[in-house]
Amino acid sequence: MSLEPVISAAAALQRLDGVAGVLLFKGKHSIHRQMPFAESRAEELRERLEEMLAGYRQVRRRMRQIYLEFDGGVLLIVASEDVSLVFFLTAKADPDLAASAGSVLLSDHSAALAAASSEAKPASTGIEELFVTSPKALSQITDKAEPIVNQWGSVRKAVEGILGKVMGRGQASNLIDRTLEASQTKDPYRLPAAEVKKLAASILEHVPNTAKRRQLLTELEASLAELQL
Amino acid sequence: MEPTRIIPISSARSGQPANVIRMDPDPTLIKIETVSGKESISGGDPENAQRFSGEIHYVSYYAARLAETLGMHRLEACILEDRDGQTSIAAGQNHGSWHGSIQTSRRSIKQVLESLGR
Repeated sequence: MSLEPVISAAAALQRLDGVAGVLLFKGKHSIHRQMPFAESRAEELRERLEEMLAGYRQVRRRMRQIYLEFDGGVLLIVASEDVSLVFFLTAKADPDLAASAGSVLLSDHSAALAAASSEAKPASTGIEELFVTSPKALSQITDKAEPIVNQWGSVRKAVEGILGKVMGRGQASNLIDRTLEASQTKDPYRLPAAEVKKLAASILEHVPNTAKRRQLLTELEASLAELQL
Repeated sequence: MEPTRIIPISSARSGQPANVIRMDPDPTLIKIETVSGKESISGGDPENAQRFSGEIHYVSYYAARLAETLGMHRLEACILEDRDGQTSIAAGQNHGSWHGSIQTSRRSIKQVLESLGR
């Protein structure tokens, strides 16, 4: 069962007033992660929350909701079985509204979430594994090796995250696919770094609002610099 | 304008300012004070008081780790809700001092925070 509708719905929650971040996970599987800090920090947050929730599950206590107000923000966890939806809220947020929207999401998509794996998704490295069966394959390796090692996987994720600020996650994903199709790029993983940058920028060119587009392009530049592209 | 303060009815009444509302003390309110590493619990029935203390130990352990991840300093308030009810906890001014209650009914987060005086 596709998780795309759940991801789109989770991404839409970010538009609620005062919601600074949303994280949807099942065990080690981060289904949707849009936090205002680095991925490694978001992953650490997931690990710690999962550990805390596992403790409750161990004593057969079914937690529905956990509200943790810190000195600098609020973590609101809405849980159902082994799926948890985490909101990172600012003082501007209405936590009851967020909790209610979160419960509705978990209930509406319960079947897809129940079918989802709780294991971590393997990280995409963008590197293909080649098995050499004959000396002839050596030339194929050298042909393939250089262009294959680009970071399209990470770039796509960054573009999706940036587009997520102006549209739903599903919509962003479709826009990327449509741009790839229109540019007739057969395999974005084979593009050289400069082409990958150009492709990423061309996706953002579809944002109609000039000021927003300029702002998103600046964010893209920062993300690409982080990826050393 | 000075915010309204709610204080127990048993407190001294002399010179009561206009912003003070006197109320009967909440019998479900549980308080935990830690002085020199020694924890003292007051209020609530013994079963709830013990459970409340357990909740605080578990939550404050993870809250410290979560605060570290989030780059924050301390937990100010917490509401735990399961199918049996809600446990609400608020930090006091001193380290290791907490107050809150265990309720079997479900209230909105806003209502719980108000009852905690936040």
